[in-house]
Amino acid sequence: MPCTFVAQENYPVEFLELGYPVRLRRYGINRDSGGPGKFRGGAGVVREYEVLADHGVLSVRIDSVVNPPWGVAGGLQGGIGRAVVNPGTPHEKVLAPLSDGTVLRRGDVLLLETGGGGGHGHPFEPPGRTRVAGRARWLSISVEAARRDYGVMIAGDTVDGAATCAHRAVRPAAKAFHRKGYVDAIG
Amino acid sequence: MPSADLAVAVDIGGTFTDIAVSDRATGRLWRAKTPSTPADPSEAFLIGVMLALAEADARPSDVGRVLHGTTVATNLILEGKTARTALVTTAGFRHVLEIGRQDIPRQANLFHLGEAASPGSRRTDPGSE
Repeated sequence: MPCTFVAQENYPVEFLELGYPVRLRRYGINRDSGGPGKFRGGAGVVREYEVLADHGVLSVRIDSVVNPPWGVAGGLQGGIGRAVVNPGTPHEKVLAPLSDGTVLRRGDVLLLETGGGGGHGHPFEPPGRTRVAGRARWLSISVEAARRDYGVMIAGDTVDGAATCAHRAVRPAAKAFHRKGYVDAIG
Repeated sequence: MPSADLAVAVDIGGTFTDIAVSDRATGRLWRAKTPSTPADPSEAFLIGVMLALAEADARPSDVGRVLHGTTVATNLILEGKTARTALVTTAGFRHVLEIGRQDIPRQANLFHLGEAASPGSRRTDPGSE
């Protein structure tokens, strides 16, 4: 098999499917993986592969699963990555972020989600908060995360201004760094 | 003299329109380049094809196949100068515009030229890959 595919690279689906016996079922933004902040961390991606060969062996190397990137200056940590075989089925299996020898068979589905970058600055500050509606429309931020992390209430395609003002009146306290909770210093 | 089995490939970019003519029987290749004509991209398409055919000393009737790719749609999306438009994608790929970029493996390029092509036409030796 030609060894031209590097998982991290953003190759067109057609290149992947020409070179490997897989079908890409989904390729998109990993929603809510960008750390919320005045400046949001970059989002990770989601890829879902269906195995078309009789048999294959999978090695996984993904970062940002146990220790996601820090949020800084009031921003929140980046989202975490994960690798799952046959998600949403009785045979679902979450793989360790560093794992080898997982056997895949025809019809198996591999879901790969990559983590995102950490946020910078408090997410209630503009421009982060003002970009939320657009991001929600593109599905990289969920309506729930918009409310929880940015204090932005979205109704349909638009921001509910009155509800947002009321909700944002109580601003969560922040410290210098964030990973699984705020801390003053990274020790 | 070219055979009647020439293939012509036309790539309309935002600035230039590139044309390649290939004689698949002999492997010979000719190229032409002409400024794009955004108001009507077909003008540069036809001008470029005629330039490339002249370079190949061939006639339109010698052409057996035309391949065409363009960044016109990509540029429209980047510049946002479209009419109200719907995007139809395969299920699972609705973020294609949000992702907005891709990496093409270098070996996917069919020909690597030793120097930048300039407007006007010239012949390219397929052995220079």
